[in-house]
Amino acid sequence: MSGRERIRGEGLSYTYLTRSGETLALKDLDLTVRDGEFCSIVGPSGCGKSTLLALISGLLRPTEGRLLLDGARINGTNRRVGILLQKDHLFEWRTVLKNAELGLEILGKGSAEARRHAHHLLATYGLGGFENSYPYQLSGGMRQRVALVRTLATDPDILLLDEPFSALDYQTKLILERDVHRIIRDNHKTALLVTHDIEEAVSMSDRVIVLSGRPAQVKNVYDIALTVAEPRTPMTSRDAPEFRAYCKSIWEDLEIEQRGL
Amino acid sequence: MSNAVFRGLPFRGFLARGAVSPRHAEFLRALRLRQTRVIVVQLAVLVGFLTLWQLAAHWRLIDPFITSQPAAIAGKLVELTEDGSLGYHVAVTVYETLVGFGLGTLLGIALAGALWWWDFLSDVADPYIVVLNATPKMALGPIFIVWLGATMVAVIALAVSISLFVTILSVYSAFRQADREKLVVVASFGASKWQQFSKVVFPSAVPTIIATLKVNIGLSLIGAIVGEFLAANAGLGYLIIYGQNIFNMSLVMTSLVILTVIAGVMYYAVTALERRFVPWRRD
Repeated sequence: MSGRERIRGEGLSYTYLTRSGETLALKDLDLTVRDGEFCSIVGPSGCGKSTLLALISGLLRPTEGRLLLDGARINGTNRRVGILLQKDHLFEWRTVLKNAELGLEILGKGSAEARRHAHHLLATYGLGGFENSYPYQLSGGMRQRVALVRTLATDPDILLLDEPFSALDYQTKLILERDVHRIIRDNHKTALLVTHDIEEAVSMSDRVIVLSGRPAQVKNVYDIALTVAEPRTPMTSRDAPEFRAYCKSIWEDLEIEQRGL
Repeated sequence: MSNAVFRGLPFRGFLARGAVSPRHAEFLRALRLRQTRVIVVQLAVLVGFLTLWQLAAHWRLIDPFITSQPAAIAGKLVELTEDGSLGYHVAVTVYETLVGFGLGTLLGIALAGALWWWDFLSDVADPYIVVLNATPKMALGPIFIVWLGATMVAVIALAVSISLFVTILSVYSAFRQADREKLVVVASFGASKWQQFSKVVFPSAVPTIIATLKVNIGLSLIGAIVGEFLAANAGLGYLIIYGQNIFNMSLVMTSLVILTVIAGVMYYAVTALERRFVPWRRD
């Protein structure tokens, strides 16, 4: 990957303060994500992966260190960055279409055009005909698709994915991984995926960053080079000869961490 | 078309209307038979109760001077309707109740919103609201009468005070329970505080607000009636106290019956609102 640098973190630390004390979630962490790259972060549960995404999305400010987006310090939320969370968080009082339009609505985009755009995206991602349904009428996979459309509707070029597939059943998960991967590739977006699923990380990513237990530090970085026919998909990646070796190596990194806990 | 096919088949019939197959017809018939039975028994209980009451009074098992009797109540109802006083007193009570309900609810929601917006304010106000909520509002009646006079305004003030604090408490707690991660979702799109409130916090509280409305309509009616007991010369509460003073139990009972009907109608009106405003809830 030789794209320009999009996200750069230097010496990042984050401390949660509460009445009962302080918890160091990240410590002296360095990170770079390049344009068009699909980068995954794996680490032991509770290691601070989600904190890192919250910092990049501008919802939290680092306690120490510098965090840059396109060379400028991250200072609050940014339109170029979209997030997709583990739960779909669809608004149950809104129809599918109204959910998809949420971001555009908040940005104050003209409603007729926004509606057309959201409509178009829903149809593209297999949700045509469900525009006027309420979320409770949809399956888990469809709900997460609507959440994806909601994120994509505002056209962010960096996507932060916080375990978005972990609440889905296995089959739905594989299909959604494939679709999200394709959407990100086809639209030349940059993605940062947080996951605890090693196979998911290896099959989707160009690069996997392994974090240590809390406080999180970078333990290892893998550039994923797989012998697969283009276009590479998470499905074909799983059949690549090198796939197992990457998974095993990352698994060993994590196992050492877990034992240490 | 399907009707033509099924015409004359055994599963046609009033109780099985809309059936798509014999099995479905059987299911529908059982379902509707049960619903019908419930309504029949409900009516039987009412009619039985009224009959027993009437007969007991007729045979002097109970003293109709103290208990009144259905025939006298019916007569009173006709009498009050004919001289126009029924409509007048009902209108007064309903007006006081609705104004009290509207003000108490709107003010309560607005104040709950203010507490959500300024959390310092909510921390400061917390003990005061809790104590005021626990205070029996009826005890405020005499104060309102001294301040506002023995007028409709005092009655409305009592109706407002009775629903205001419970509204603030329950709506504020619903505002606070809005899903944090939904707030993260809107924050990621750069939502302002007002947008957080209008897109997430308020809509998630709508079911609670509707539930509060159901409670408040009853509370406001209590406030209006008690207010009329204390200081009024119109309304059903006044009619009840007046009936008691002249020892006309038929007047008291008649007012009570009308009051029950009003309470029922208002409750179902709010329930209808719920269907209108909470369509995303599965049944």
